[in-house]
Amino acid sequence: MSVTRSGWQIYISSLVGKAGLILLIFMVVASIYVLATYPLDYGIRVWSNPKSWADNPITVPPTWVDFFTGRDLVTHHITITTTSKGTETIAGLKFKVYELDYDLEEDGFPTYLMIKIYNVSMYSERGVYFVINFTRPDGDEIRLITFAEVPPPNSDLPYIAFSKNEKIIFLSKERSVGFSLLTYINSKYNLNYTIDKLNEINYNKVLFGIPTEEGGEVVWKPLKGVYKINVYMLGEDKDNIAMLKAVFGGESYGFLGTDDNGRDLAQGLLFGFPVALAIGFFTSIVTTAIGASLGIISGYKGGRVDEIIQRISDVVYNFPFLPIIILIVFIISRMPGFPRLLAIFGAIVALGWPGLTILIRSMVLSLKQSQFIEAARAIGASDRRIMFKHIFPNLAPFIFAQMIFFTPGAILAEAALSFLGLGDPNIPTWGQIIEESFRAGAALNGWWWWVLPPGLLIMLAAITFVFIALGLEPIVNPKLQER
Amino acid sequence: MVKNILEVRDLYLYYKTYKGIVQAVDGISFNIPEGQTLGIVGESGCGKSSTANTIIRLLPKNTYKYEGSIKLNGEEITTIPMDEFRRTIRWRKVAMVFQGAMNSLNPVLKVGFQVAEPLIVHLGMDKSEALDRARQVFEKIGLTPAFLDRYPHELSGGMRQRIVIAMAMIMNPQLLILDEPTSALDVSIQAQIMNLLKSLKKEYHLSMIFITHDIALASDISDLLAVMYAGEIVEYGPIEEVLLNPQHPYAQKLIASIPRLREDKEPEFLPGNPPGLINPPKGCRFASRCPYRFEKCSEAPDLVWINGNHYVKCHLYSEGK
Ligand SMILES: Nc1ncnc2c1ncn2[C@@H]1O[C@H](COP(=O)(O)OP(=O)(O)OP(=O)(O)O)[C@@H](O)[C@H]1O
Ligand SMILES: [Mg+2]
Repeated sequence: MSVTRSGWQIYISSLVGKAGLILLIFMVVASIYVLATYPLDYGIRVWSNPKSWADNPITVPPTWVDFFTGRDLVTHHITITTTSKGTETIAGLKFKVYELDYDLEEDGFPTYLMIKIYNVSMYSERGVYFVINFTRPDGDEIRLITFAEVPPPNSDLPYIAFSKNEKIIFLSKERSVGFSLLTYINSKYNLNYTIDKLNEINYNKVLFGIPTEEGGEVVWKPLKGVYKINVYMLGEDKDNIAMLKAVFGGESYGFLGTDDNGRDLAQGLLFGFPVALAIGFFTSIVTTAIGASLGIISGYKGGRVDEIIQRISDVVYNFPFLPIIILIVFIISRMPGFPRLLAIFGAIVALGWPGLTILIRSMVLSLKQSQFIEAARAIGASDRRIMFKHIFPNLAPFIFAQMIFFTPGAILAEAALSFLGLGDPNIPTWGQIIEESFRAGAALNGWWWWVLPPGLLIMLAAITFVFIALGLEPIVNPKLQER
Repeated sequence: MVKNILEVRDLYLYYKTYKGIVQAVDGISFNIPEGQTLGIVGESGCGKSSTANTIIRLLPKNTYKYEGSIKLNGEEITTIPMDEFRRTIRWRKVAMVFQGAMNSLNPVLKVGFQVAEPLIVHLGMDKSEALDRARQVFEKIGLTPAFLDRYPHELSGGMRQRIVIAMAMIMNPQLLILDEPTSALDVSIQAQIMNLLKSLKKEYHLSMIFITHDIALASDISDLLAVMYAGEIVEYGPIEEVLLNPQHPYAQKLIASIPRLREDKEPEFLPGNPPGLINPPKGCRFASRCPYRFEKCSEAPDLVWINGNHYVKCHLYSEGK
């Protein structure tokens, strides 16, 4: 049962062992990448914070689905400018001009158009006046919206507007944009639409498309080319916009798409690697440590101690795992401020140890009879010394394999609890993400990119450890060793 | 007059089993003068290992009766509290090579550590210091220090036997008990081990108890011989006395059964089996197999003095024959 160099050779010569090791290395590398690049409080600061995802399209598939759809989906695009293009005098008034470009290359419509204005400094109490114009590839310029912003009375100058919260204008939803578009299509295409009809066909189609006749029906087709958003600002000469941002909503996003909060699933799933490994390793290490120590003590000491440990482990062993663990986590998670992940960890450990205790005890019972243990006792070694220096090394490979065996169980248990809504909403785990997709009806809506990847990752993690355990089996259980 | 290192008087060790009481050691007595070796011979199951275990006080849980007197250097050691016995006697003054120990070393620990461990346990040495000492003992025992880092399965039987002897010798005991130290080895290795033991005996003036079922082997190293039969010592005396002039019928048969080179005589063999140790016969335990059996044999015989240090437990030699 000793792990020697030949043990390693046996392990690495087995196909599953190698596969498991490669998968584990992959998981570890992913985890190290996350730990190096993500903030530690990523869950609270980024994942659960709607602000970090406000620009993103909602429930869109990954970009690479282009390969399968046959049409290039419109990619998500953000244009930012911090400098003015210059000034322009219109009707004797001098406007500062900011320009945001967008090149529509795909055969589709951006899903929305949004503009964000940050930190506008105003040097007069009269404030500023904004005009937002939209220029299309066909040369048409549409005035989308105009509005004024005035410093509150008696404020110090210069006053910075939109500093705490940027000004967000959802151009593809804004009612005044709708009226501008109605005028535009009426004069250009002679189309007499009502505002309701326009709402129905969607502003983006009008903004980024042209109408065509198809069987007596008007069908809007996307218009490729360069679009410009011009923001005109009327105010003092020194008045200034710190930053402008235009968001052209994509039909696809990133490597794994987004959820219904616009969250980048690839990012959240990547964060799941260290969490899964930590849950798996931590719970299995603690569970095996407790299970093995109690098993060794129980088997070696015998008598009352043995009796007590065995009765307790019998009882706990026969608890129905999932119902009890749900109950425990449910109760603990009601305590305010108690980290749920810790509750899950504690519950898995509390219910997980007895199996190993019972196994190890029976192994110790037979080891205890062996002469080298009697000899160790004869030379005067203490019970503690015998248990840890003589018995433990004999069981170490087995205990190690059990630890590996337990790891996928812990990962799956966490996933199951999260799926049942008992997970920690502030920490994106794979189970957590599946649960959210389930709650949002992702499966019914066909949002497969939200359901499948976390499921596959949970499976991958479990398989990794099962492979490693299978690779260890012939070393730990010499009877299986083929020579 | 040589001082006795060990004096054993009326020693009993009974075990309790669900079948009844096993009278494994039933009132034995013997002395070992300092620097001398006592051979204990007898058939399998006659109580040789039990005798050894009683001296080093390794009593199993089912011990039923443990009685008698054992004096080490004149000091009674049966009455010493267990804790003190463990600290001061066992392994420090009396060490033992257990029967079959060479085949049951801890498979996952390096042999160097196993040899050094008594020093760590008894003297509180740190590991490296203890290993240094083990290295010295290795050299004396005929093992290269490189073996310190080996695991038991990497060593041959002879080497492992040396390892167990080193384990017993590491604390420089006054008395070394060897329970069948060579029975699993082939003849040439057996001879090497016997030579090693003889040199230890000479060099350290070591007293030994050498347990075997092989009289020829016992005669090679022993100064005294005790013949055990069914839990009793039936004959005890200087080795030449017992070998050349055996008194007890069992001892006579046993010695006659040694095959001899260049002799026409067929080795004799003893018909029948020794009695069980649960409820053994009231009288002489050998009576059922004894060719000289007579009425008196239904009574238990006493130890009878023959001459010098030679004793026998047989009615043939008692007064009122
Ligand atoms: N713990 C025990 N409980 C019950 N009976 C025991 C116990 N230990 C030994 N015996 C019995 O006591 C008797 C003497 O055993 P012991 O091991 O002393 O014999 P031995 O002369 O050393 O034999 P061998 O040559 O086979 O080693 C045997 O019948 C054995 O079965
Ligand atoms: Mg024996």
